[in-house]
Amino acid sequence: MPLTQPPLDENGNIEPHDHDGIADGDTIIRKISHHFVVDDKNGGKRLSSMAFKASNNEMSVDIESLMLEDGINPQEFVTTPVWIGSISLMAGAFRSAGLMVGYEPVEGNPYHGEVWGKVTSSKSKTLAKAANWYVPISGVSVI
Amino acid sequence: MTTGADITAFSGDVIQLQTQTTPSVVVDSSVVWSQSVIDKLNLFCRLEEGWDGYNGKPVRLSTANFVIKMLERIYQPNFPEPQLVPGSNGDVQIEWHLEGLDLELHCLSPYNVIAWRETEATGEDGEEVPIRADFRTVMNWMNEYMEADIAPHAATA
Repeated sequence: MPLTQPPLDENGNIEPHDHDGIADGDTIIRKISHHFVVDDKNGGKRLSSMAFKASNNEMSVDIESLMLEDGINPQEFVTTPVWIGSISLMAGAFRSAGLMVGYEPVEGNPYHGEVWGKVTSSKSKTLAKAANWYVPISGVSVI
Repeated sequence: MTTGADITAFSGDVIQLQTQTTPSVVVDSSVVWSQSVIDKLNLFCRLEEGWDGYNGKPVRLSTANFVIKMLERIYQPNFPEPQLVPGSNGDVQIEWHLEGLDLELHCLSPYNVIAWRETEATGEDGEEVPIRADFRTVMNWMNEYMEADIAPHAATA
């Protein structure tokens, strides 16, 4: 079911919100740039906590259910054109961390969502533990 | 050590040349520093909009230059070289993942740093401290790690 239009502020910009059309069990995807890959303490590779941090208290994501409704292959969408990997969490995992999960379509991406709220290093670790690879980067652990 | 066009750097000052067409960090050439860190920051300052698959912006030059000054301040011989990771809003994180210490310095903007560490003593939640210009806490954390790392070796010597 399409999501209802998100709330707008007086300037017509989407306000931070927690969309009730996004269920806790819905899959939320986040593209992962190779810049987020760092060395871990054991000689392997892992994701930096920056992959889970909300710069300026907002973190861009993609909403899987919207892609599926449109007949789009989510794994193809999130790796087009060059993004090498992506992770996924349930919307409820963000909410359990005190964050809001909203719908924010943007030009070129009608499946775009936003996670709003402050994400500390500690909280980013909580999110990383709840995350799984959606499109994995070979040899890199999520946490 | 400097990058980019011909640069005359005054001690302790950061100068952005008007003639440069691409942003570059500037360092005091009298400081011995890791060229890889400087190269990384220059790379991050030149990231294209949308580098993260969304609306990611390049690291701000002012933030990159502040990071250089911060690292110069906390630099200690024999402490491992940091890893650097760009943020989506012009910010950058400096991090170390070592046995017994995870240390992250999230530089949101000049004089706006969130320092966090995780050790056995802090537990998984770690310890977070906001920092503007006083890096003594971070230097203490680094010293604690160095002393703990050295002590076991000394005991078995």
